[in-house]
Amino acid sequence: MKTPTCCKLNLNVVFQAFILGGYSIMFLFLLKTGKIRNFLHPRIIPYIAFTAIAFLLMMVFLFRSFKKREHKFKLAPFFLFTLPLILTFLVPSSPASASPLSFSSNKIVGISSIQRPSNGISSGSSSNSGGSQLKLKPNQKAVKVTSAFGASVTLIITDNTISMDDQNIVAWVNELNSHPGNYSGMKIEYTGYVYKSGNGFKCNQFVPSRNMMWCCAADIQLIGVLCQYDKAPELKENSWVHVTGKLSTSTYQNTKVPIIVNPTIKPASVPKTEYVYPY
Amino acid sequence: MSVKTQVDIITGFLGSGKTQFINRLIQTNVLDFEHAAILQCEFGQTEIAPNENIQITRHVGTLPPDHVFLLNLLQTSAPDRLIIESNGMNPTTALIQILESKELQNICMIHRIFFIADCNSFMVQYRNFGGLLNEQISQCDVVVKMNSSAVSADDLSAITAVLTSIIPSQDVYDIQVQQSVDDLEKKHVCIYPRKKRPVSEYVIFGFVLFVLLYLNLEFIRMLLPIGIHIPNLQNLITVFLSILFEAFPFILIGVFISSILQIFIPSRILESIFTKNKAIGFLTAMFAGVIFPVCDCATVPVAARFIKKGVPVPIAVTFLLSAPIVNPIVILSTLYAFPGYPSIAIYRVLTGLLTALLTGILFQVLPSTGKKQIVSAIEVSNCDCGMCSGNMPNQSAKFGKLEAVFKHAANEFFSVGSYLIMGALLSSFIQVYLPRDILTSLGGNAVLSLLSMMLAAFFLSICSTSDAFVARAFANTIPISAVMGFMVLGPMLDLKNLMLLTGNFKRNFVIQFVVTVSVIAFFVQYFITRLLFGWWS
Repeated sequence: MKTPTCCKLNLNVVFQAFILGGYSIMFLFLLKTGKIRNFLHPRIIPYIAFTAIAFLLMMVFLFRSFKKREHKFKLAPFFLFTLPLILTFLVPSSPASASPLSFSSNKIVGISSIQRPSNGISSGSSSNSGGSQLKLKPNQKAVKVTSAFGASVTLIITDNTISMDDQNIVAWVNELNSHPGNYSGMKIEYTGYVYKSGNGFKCNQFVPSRNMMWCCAADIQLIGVLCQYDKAPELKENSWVHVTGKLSTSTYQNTKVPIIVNPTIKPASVPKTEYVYPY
Repeated sequence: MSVKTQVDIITGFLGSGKTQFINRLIQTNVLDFEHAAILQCEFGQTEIAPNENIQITRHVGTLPPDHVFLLNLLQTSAPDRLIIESNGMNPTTALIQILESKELQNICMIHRIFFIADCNSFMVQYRNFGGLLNEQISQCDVVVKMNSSAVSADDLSAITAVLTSIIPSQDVYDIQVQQSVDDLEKKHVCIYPRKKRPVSEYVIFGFVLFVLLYLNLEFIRMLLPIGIHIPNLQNLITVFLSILFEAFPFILIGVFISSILQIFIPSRILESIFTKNKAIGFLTAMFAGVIFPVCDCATVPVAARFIKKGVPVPIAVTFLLSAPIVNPIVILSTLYAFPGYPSIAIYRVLTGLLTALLTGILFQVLPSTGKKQIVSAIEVSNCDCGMCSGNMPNQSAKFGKLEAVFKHAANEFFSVGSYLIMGALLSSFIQVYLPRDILTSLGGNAVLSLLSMMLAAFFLSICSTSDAFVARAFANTIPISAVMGFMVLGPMLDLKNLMLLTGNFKRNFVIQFVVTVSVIAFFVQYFITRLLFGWWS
């Protein structure tokens, strides 16, 4: 009839410590493997490091109350807390998939979302003169645009060809949409995934797209330049392609937009970072 | 002595009937099979009924008995059970700490703590000694209401409301004067002696956890290879985790600031800053966010702490609403999202501050409820950081305060974290499965599009630092007042921080708050923004 005196642990505290430790390991794991980039903009990573350390410290301080008197123990809330752990460790994580999220990407607004308000007052004081501080080769031209938060970025055109990569694609797409006329006739080349299901796309149109992340995977937007390609229906949605073509202008949803015509399409490998960042 | 003495503590205010309760325990013979002892630290009107099996000791003095006294008592008489009638004016924690000290924890263990409330006088006592009684109630395992038939049903439900607001999950029993504890026994067989938590329970529990983990894994593996569901399930998980991961650092900043406020800043300092002059108080609240650049997740715990620390509710509400809007990062991102239109960023701040101020003033004008009715007491009962529950002896070691900050932060994290997770889950569902067409199809109608954009802002829960970019995507197709509605309401109120609010505030207050903010935000956007942007459309 006497009560055994084992098991005097405070289950609430033990579970809290378990969760905190789990979260700490989870964040360290995501940081170590770089998978954190599937979810967050790199600029938030220092905050995540802080979070991992804070969780760890909280857990250490909780150890001291393991034997404190136990209030009623309720298990249900802890299942909720284990959900992120389960999803992180047991589901192979991938970037928010190339098929756009119905809400946070631009299924409707599509490529025109990149467009700035009509009169484009400060839409990058573009100066198509070669005379910048940069040493340009004779076959190069420079375009100065204003990038995120007012920083100015110089875009280079070599041999009349616009070559977009992870670093400059956001600035370029912005600039092309702001002044589609300025670049008509130039060559363009870049890599993106095939996006065909945009609102109002003709059957021979698609966008070689990239997913642009402002902050986290919940605010991804799709960017790219509309592309006219007769064999577009044969392309597989979401497959990665390298596009080389000539720029022209067209209208999409009553707005003047750049369009790539007569493209050469080659299959491409998935880029190292699937997202591109505006800043 | 082979077995530890089981200690029961009977708490409750002076004259609440602690001795009567003990007498009833004796009458029911539950103690007959044990060698029991009673320690009285308070002497009321009732005497303990003499019983040859039970040894009664008295402790005189206003302080709880110290180790030496208890050690002596436990070693000399070595009872199986010791019932301590606590002094009604002492916090329970003081006694618990002594019983759990190194010297005593090897020879005794706390079994049950009863809180005795006399229904006739409880409300009066609670009004006058709320802090002390909060502490006693939050520490107890079982609440016993004495003489519950002597008061009206309304009074009884008021008492129950107070009790359950402090300890939602505790066992509550009613006892009439004439009734015996037998009834108590019948209602709940395990009240006395204690139901043991057998080791097998832990084994079962561990097994269930394992099975669930395994099932989850299998479940997810099963779903992944199935064609049509892949992208959306994967997206759902990614979006859910990213909303959560993004919010975690800011929630932590929020709970740490809140804990530091709680432990290092005396209430009267905050109170004096915000209450001396109403106008200055409101102004400070409106612009405090500038020097405090955190997003909406972090402001909820801080605002709740402000209220608990005595800052007037209207001012705390103003702070809660304006901080995410005057955040410099938010202003910068708005400027960038609408290049060439700095007016949008300016009007976003202006209309946001106006909404915050009007809401604050409305809360000022409306008949106010006390802070007890607003801030949920969930944390009073949970927090064992040693700093929260009133006037307990300060056990601060070297790292005492630092430890308290971390423990307190952990507690707050767990009390709001589950709401955050639910909010992130809901809003990722909506992000992934709700088609966007619904919004844009509303097109030009000013009222409908404003309402739908406010709803969208609420459900999407996009962090205030990046919502301007999402808003811009709509700018071509819907009126600017609706876009502004999205950007102003979003940081103030969304699914994620509504969940956080319910974790920190009472339900009635949350409802009042949500309604007020939405209505004011709507009218500000509908009239003021259209006025400001008159030239626009």
